[in-house]
Amino acid sequence: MRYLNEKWKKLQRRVGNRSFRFMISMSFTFVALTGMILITAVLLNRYERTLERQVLSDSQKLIGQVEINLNTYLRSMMRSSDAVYYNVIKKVDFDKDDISRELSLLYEANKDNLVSIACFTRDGELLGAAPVGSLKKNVNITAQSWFEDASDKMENLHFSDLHVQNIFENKSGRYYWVVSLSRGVELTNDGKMSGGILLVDMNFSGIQQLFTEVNNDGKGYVYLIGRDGEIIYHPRQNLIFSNIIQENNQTASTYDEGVHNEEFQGEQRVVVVKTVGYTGWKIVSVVSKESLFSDLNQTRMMALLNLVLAIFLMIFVNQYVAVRITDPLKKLEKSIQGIEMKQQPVVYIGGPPEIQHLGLTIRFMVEELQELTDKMVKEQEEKRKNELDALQSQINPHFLYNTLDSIMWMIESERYEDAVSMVQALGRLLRISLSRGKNVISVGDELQHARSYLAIQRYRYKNKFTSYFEVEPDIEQYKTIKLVIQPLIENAIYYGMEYMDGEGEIHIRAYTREQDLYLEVEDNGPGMPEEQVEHLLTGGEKARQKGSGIGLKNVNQRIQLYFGTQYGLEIESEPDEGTVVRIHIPKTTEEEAGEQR
Amino acid sequence: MNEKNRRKYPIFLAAAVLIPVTVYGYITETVQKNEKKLYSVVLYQDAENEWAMLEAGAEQAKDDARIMINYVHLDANNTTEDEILAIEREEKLGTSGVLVACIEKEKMKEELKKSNISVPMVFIESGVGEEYPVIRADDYRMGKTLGKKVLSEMLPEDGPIIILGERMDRDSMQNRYCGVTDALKASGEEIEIIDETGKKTEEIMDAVVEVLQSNGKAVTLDKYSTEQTAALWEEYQSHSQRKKTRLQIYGIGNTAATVNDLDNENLAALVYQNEFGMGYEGIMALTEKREADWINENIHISYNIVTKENLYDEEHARLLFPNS
Repeated sequence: MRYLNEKWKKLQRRVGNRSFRFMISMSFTFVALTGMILITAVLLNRYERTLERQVLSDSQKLIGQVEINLNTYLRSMMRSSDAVYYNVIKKVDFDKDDISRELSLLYEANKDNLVSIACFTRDGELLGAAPVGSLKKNVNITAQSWFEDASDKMENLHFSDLHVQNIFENKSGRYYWVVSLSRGVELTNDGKMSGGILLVDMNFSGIQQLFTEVNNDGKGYVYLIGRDGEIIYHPRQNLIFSNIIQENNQTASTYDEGVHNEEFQGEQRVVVVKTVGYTGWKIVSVVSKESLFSDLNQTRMMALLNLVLAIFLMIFVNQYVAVRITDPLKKLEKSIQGIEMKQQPVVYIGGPPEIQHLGLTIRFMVEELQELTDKMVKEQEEKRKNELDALQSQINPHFLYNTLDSIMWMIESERYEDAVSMVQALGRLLRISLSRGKNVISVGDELQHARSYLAIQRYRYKNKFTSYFEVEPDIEQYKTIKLVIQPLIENAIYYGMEYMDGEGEIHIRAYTREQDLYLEVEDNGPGMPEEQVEHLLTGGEKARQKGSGIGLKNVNQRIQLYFGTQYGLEIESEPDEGTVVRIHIPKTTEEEAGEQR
Repeated sequence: MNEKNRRKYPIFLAAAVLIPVTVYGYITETVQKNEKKLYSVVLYQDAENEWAMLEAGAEQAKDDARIMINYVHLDANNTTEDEILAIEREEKLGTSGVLVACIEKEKMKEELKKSNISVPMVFIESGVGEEYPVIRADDYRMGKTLGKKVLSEMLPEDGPIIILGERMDRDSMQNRYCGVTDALKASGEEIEIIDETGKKTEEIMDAVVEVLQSNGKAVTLDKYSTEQTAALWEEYQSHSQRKKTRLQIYGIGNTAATVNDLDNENLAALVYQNEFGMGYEGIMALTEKREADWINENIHISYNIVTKENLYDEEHARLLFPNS
């Protein structure tokens, strides 16, 4: 059992690993084959049964016909006997008359079926015969079985067994097998009545012909046996009498009328028996079950050939159908393999509507994926570029040069404390700018960076403005991308504070609202018209030209690349009303931020 | 569907139709071929209708084996060379086998060595050596049975026994002769045996008459001799009006004439072989391509002795009186 289980599982694994086309083809073939075999088997079985019944029925009809023909033949002989008796013997006085002429006439009228007609006294003396002949000298007529039967029961007609006629002298060398029909008769001799025996010898060839005709047709054979089971006629009787073959005649003589199954010499046979009323003989029809089905073997062969042909056709059709179904799938699969191999093939669109739909969907998905991938690559590239730009803008040589120049001037002017402060601020600025390569830093660091920048710029801009920091407690722990506040302050200084004379104010605010974090830079500068605000982030013609020029756009893009398009810069400005630039990012902790490089 | 599959499927379809059709056609043709083989029967013919029962047996085999049979009847004047020519002609006609009753044994052996006959042959009654199978009854025992019958009906006053038979070069005749003479000699009595074997029957009829007139007995070893002797003796008796007292002729060989002679008390006894069986078994052995060893082991032709008293008993009547 375990072995079978293992084998079954192995088979399942094997089958499961085969291609879709194979599965379809094999499934169709298996189902159709099973169906065909079952139907063929059932039909053949029905055909066998029907054939057997038909042959039996035919045998019974045949044997019935043989019986009718035989009875007809025997009746005609009986009529001949009656004719001789009633029309000849009864009308003559043997003392005066001779019956030879009448007997000859009757004989001639029936010579095809008769061998002889003879009339005897009770003592065996021949009274007349046709054809004319003399009795054999050493033959005891009264000892003949036909004579004894007729003598015993004078009123009946008696049919003897088949024998060679041997009562008449025979110089011709021609011998006849006959069945003797004998009866007791009343003889008139000189007016006195006495008993006699009338013998009519029927030529057995007439009976034999009935059977020969029957045995030439169909399957099996028909033979005739006497009351004691001895063969009277058999189509192969000479072989039986030569002991070359045997027949089951003795057993058949014990069968009642009807159909019997028997086994004889290893052969299964169907035997139909019919009794001939007049004689007690039995007509036996024998059909070998093997010969019964010999035609069936041919039919089976044909059915098998047809089955083989059908299997071939079925395999062919199933293969064709499987190919038609799976070919589009295979092409589609090939397209997908190509996609896996990054070959960018054309996705196959074809086959049935469902496959076409599948192909179209896959193509759309591939294109979508390609677009997303391209977009992502582009975003990554932009991010890198923006970061680089941001860095570049922060490490602007002009700014560095001017700052160092300012430091040098301070030193030359012996404003050593100011110089130290500026150097420190520059150091902090550069440290945070670099941040060891990190893109995401704490809000605290970003604010520190802004403070350092403002410290440097205050020196440079000779306190043209004042900066104020309004920072929500605990906000410094959150994360932001670096270098987002400084560009805003830079813009505020360049565009807002330049024309202020000590009255300039820059407010830097940091606060949270629910899950969002806001970093604001507000100046009280001249502000800008609305259309200028709109173009600030798009980088159009009306964008501001001073400074790095890409700071706001850069900041906005970087914010959106990192945090999504729902975040970024918000700019509020009106002419003479100042400008507020608000950084909107999500409230992000260290873990949530992740490191994006 | 790729190009390879497109080419494959029509071929596959053609094979699916052609293969079963071809197989079926081959089977049908083979079956038909098997039904039509030709076989030949070449027989010497010394007496009229000499082989009627053998031919009846061959005809039965023809029906059973579904073959065709061609009969060649030689006559008394034909020689062994004629017989060989007849066999060669049959071979050219396409016969698949020949059943032969050879005229002369030694001559047939020589002629067969010289000829190029390659078709299978089975001999009946007399053989031509170990090389060719022969189907026959036990001729020696047939002769012995006849001899014993003669002895059983001999009286002390009986005359000599004359033994006749023309074709003594056939081993069947030799064996029968040996059987008869051994039976007669085994009696221990002094019996005068006149050996006229090997001579033409017509030439020795005077000697036969003389023996029979002296209450002797005639023993004939073949059908022709039996017929001729019985006919001669009947004629002699009818002309001389000699009263028939005892039957004096004992013969081997059943023909319609010899059976009639037995019936008409011209023969005392007749030993006969089952020639129907010989014909049937001979043809079947050819169709089934049986070798000599198999034939010797499996085919046994029976013989019987029949007298007037039991002539009409069924066991003899069935074999002696054709029922057709």
